[in-house]
Amino acid sequence: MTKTMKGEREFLLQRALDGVLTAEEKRRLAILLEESPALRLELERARQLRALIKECTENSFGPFFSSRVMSRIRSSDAEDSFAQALAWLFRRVAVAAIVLIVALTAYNISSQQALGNHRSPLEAALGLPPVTVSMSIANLNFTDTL
Amino acid sequence: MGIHHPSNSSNQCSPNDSDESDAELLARARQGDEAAFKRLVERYESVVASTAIGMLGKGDDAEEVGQETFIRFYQSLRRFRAESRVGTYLTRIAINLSLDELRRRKKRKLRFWIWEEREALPDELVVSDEQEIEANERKDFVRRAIQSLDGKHRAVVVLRMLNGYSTQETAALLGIPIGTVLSRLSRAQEKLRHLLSPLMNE
Repeated sequence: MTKTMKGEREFLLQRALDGVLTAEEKRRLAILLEESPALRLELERARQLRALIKECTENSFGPFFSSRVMSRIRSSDAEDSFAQALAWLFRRVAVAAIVLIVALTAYNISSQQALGNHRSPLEAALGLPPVTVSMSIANLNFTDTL
Repeated sequence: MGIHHPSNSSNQCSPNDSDESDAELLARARQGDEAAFKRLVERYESVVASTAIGMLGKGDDAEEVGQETFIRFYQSLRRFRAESRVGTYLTRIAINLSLDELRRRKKRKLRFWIWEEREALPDELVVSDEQEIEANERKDFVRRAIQSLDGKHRAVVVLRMLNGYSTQETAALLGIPIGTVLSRLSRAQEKLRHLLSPLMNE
């Protein structure tokens, strides 16, 4: 049997099990069933298997499931409102911190310009004193170690 | 592809099981009416339970997936529009969460080499002719047989055979081609027929 034939057979069987065969599909399946006792047996077994599985379906999570769900929803709502309150607080603190940082940076830059110091933009923004390797060495006191 | 909730499934609520339609309950739930949402949970518990328990077996994992499914639905109430029906929407969430849980189980097992405490899955179901299989035992056998399938085959079996979705709807729910649904179903059925042959009239 070719792959296409097998595919069509399977397709028709499943459509028959779903009960959604068109008139043309019914006619084709009837021919196939007439020709093949094996296919008839397969269809019968598939129906049996489906009925067996259907009869064993579990349809419930047990008593008071809906109450358990509602209780989880209420507690997750409470957690959500706590998280929202934290987020609200954090946003305000973050805005205040940004305003403070911008103000300090502006102050540092303007005071450096007023003093006429020539520094890199980063040093000016952070208000860092001028530090170079030679200045560091010059400030070292070697007398204690001698 | 439009998906309609299967009408032939016993899991589905009938339109007459409540005075209020889904749309009315959804509208009230969106306005914060807890009782309306609880009614929706009660109405669709069976749809979600058959999916989650079918995928994960009865137990804490399935219950967790069931609860999480409704919590996500609650969180998306305002975004939810009626393009897909409530049952289909919930099934999609439940099947995805169940597949995630199966992936987590697999990772846990690979990482720690822990054999999870659960019943061994049957290679073959042995039942003597004289033995009468009780309804609960039958359920248990079938459940264990389904659990022995790997996740992707199990998902197809659960959606097609337990929930009663059509091949097209199953393909749309899982985001796979129809041909893949058919081939997975065929392979899964073959294995299930072998495992459950003692329960079937040959």
